[in-house]
Amino acid sequence: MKRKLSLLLVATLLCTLFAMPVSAREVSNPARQETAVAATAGTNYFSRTTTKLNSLNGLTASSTLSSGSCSGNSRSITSVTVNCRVSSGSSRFTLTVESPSGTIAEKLCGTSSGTYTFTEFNNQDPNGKWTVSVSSQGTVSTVTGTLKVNYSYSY
Amino acid sequence: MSLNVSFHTNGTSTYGNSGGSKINTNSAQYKAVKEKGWLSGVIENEMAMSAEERLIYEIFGGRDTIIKNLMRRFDADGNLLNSHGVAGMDVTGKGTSWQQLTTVSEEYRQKMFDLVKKEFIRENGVANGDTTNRSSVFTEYQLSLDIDDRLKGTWSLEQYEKQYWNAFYQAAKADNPSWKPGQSFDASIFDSITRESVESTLVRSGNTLVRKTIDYSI
Repeated sequence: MKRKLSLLLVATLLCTLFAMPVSAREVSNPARQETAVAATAGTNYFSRTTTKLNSLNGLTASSTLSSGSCSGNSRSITSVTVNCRVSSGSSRFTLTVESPSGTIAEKLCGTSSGTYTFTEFNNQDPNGKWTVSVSSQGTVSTVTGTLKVNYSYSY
Repeated sequence: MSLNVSFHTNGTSTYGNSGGSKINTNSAQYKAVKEKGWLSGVIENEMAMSAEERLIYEIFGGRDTIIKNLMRRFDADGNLLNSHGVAGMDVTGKGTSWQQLTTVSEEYRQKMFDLVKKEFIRENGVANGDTTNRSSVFTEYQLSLDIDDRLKGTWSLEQYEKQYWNAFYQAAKADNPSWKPGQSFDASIFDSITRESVESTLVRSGNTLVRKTIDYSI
């Protein structure tokens, strides 16, 4: 009788040991699938550099820059900056940025290099062609600009 | 090179090189150059010049030439023009206050819908800045509006554009839940999606358009 009871106990323990992991996997699977189809969101940016922009006597020098492929199904600009590297001997100038939808914002810039931030484009879609322009307020301004557009996105 | 400055009794004044055309300092374009602070920049540049630099400056036309060129960036009413020649698109210093919803004509909503559908199919759902033609639709729409309505109209059309794109994305996902942008799909799944069907699901939320949410219980 004791022998039979011992065998039954061992059999029960073995069944419990092998059955438990299977049960756990079955429970966790639906949760994983739920995560896979949930909406995702994140942040990204693109950075593009103009050609060397030479503006003479107030004439405008421009460069068109493409965003390239943008992440997400829905996108929203969070900040736009232009880093200007100004050549020695340049005059003061006006820096203008134009978004793909045609809105424009400008800054008055000195004769030294610096980074300028534009908040006016926030919430717009960054996808498409951007234009960065320089208009000298003197004889000549030579500037190379790097446009950086930060944006948030979601799917 | 002599600078000729003359003042007229009717209140207008002009100045310019004796050999060239005069600048009307009462013109809206001149005033815009002044109000933007660009004229101050020109004068500050002059003040920082050495005698040699000043000589070169005058040889190249001096202040008159610079101001005339800067004035070209404005229309006759003194509005800054964008690269497509559209006035009224200047958002400098406005933050995001210009982002207001307004009514967009059916014609341009349809044009934007058609463009979004075409580009979504062509690019397999990827927003491709290299190939998109969205700027052209915005420019055409802006030119159809009064100057004071262009910023609001641009923002509003962009809200519709976002929701059209979203509708195609949702349809592609509904057809194949594992689909991701960049992967091909059967474009016939969009046959039942029309501008009207998308717009019927939209409601205003602040200054944006969002899809209606339906609460239901079983």
